[in-house]
Amino acid sequence: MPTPYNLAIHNTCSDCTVRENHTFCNMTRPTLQAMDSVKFTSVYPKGSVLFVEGEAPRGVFVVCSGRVKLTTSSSEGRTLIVRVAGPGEVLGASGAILGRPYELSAETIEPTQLNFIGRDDFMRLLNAHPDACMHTAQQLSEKYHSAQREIRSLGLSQTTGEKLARLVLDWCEREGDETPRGIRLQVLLTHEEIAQMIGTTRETVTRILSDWRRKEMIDIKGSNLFVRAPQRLSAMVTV
Amino acid sequence: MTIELAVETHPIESTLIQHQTLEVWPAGRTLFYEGEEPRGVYMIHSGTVDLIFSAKDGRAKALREAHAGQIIGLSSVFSHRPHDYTATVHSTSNLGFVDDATFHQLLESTPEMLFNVLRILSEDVNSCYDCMREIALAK
Repeated sequence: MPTPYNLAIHNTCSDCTVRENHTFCNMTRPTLQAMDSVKFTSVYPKGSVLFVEGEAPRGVFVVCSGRVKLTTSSSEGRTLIVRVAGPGEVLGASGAILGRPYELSAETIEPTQLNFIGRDDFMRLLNAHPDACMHTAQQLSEKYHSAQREIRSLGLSQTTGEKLARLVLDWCEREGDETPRGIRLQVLLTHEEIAQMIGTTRETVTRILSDWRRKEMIDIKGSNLFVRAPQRLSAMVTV
Repeated sequence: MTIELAVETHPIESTLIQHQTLEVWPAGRTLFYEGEEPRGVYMIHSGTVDLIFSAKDGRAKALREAHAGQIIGLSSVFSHRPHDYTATVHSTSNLGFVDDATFHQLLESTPEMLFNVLRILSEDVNSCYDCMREIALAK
């Protein structure tokens, strides 16, 4: 049967076939059933804004499939992409738990299935199900450690090339496919968005990627980026 | 000697305070090093602690600071991960220490503590975002 955007839709958490791969979702059956009774499943197209930095917390979004970029902005309007979230991640949890405005904005970068749980229901779920509480704490702890890595890179990298090399190597580690042409990455972000991930300008990202291409360190074909010389990128990274 | 305690405390702190070892730490002393296995959590009752991040080539920079009322090392203890940074006392501090085993025992025996761990982790995550914003966007 055709599904929106050809996504494999999971209507219930208790029957989800991929939940075991996701730390947060892999909870006990009673907790999953409780979650099923309070969540709303929706499929969003690319570019959908889920919540905005500074907005009162309405609840949390659990990513079932697809990807969501999380951004923060300065008062001058400059944007930093803090992270790209994927399946199994809970978005907006810290705001919902603390009852404070969302710290980040969230926007889908590809068609994405999400489960929304309203704040009151989420808090009740945490109170009634210790494993939901534990899995949320594990997830927050992971986010904390990944944020520290970003802080280290932003604060200690000496050049923009180094920041970009580390970002590309991180992608290789997480989602790269070995091919005869090199490690293949499907990059759904524009040069502008890549620039926003490392705190630089679009022009600088384009210039560095062209330079790497000329030196045969990478190759680009459509949305595919092939890393041909990961060891040369590694040599650039000091953090 | 009178030890000054943080004015505002989370419920978790009242539990931890009952099990803490209090000590005055002079400026410059290091609580733990980056990459070290966590031994326990430190509650800052007064003073400040620098959170120092290092590069592979040995360069190091204090990119965050922890103040009175904050708990450091909690995420590493909770998730059994090595510390992400070196914590060095910036100004003389009164610190309460609760070792790893006691912390996990308390977590098991006091279920409501887990909810407070969630609150602290949420605050820690938010403070990291503030720090990232400051480093990357304040230029």
